[in-house]
Amino acid sequence: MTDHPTNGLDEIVHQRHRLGILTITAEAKRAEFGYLREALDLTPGNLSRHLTVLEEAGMVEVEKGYEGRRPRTWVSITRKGRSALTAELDALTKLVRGHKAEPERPASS
Amino acid sequence: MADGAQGPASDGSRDPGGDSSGPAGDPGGEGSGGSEPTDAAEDHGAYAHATPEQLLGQARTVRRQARRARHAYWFPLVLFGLLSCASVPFYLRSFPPGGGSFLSRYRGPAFLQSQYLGGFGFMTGVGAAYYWLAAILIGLGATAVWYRVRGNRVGLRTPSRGFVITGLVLLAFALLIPVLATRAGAGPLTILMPGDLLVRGTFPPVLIGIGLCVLAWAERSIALTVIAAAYLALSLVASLYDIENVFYDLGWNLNPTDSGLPNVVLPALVLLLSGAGAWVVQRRRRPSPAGPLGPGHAATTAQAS
Repeated sequence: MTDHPTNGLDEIVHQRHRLGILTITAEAKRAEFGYLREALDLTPGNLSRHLTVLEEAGMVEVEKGYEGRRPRTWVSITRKGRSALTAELDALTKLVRGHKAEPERPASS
Repeated sequence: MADGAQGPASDGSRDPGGDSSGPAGDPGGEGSGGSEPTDAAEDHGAYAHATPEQLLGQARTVRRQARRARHAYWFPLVLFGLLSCASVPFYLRSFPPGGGSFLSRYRGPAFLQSQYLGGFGFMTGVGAAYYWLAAILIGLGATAVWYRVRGNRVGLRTPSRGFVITGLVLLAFALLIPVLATRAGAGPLTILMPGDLLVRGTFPPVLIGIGLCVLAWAERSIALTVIAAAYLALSLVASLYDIENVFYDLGWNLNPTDSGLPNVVLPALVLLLSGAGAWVVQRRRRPSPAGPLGPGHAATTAQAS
């Protein structure tokens, strides 16, 4: 096992929409399903599926309820999710820095 | 993003009539996921095409948008500004009319006349401490309700509990410290009663300023941090110095009965003006109809980053 930045990438988090879900929920106490759907430009079904993946991994908690007579679904990030998000962003940052620091190789003919 | 146009999440198959209530609409929790293409290809697409720069750029974009969407601090700024303005009568030397001698005007439980809340200040009149106690409690409660209602409307809840808890703890200390210091006599607790800060009866805005600093942290707002710091600094100056002197030096001689007003009105104006400015800015910021991960957006983001 090397300490290459790619080892810090989590298969669950290293997906743009799930990364987006974790990023938004880390910004707020709770995020509503409708906000996530619009912000990430997802269909309800796909968002639901991504949430299921994250919920099963213990990275988010999904709470369903009603506001008046209107059903609402609230998503909040867990401590594990916050740690995974931090690790993913750190790994991505290291990859970007490594990529920029790496000198370009001459093209082989 | 390079794969922005592929994958079921961002293509034309998006359900235009989708209910924003999400899976709560069908308490089974599966939403319409069962009938849509799975995200296996989408995951593959994310691995295959999204570069680290693009993923980081998207994360920054959604974070910035979420932060902007939930910013709602104009309300507590305006509210506490108005509550501060409403305290002006208690700082008029002529209030209440025909008020009697200095000490005989104070009635009610002594612990409610805390110097931290404006009690026994040489600039304050009868009832200032009662007023500030009620005003701060009303401000905290209304702010908590505001963030809850706003969070429900926008779909993002700001963690305002820290602000409310900080305010309540500060109020508790403000009520308890004078009582404990009085009982202890000339002991070490007298250090908790700094006369220079409390003598004018203008300390409550300092408490509000500390609360706003906590709110700035909850809002993750640099602008609110600057506003709260400026307000806190001005409130401390107003507690330590007679701002009337500045007006006198400028050639504006205030009526003796109004000499305490600048110490109250100036910090209140900071709150009102910054609150009005924040309201204008936050009103202009409408969430973009297309999400940041939609087609075409990611490529722009990646270029920008």
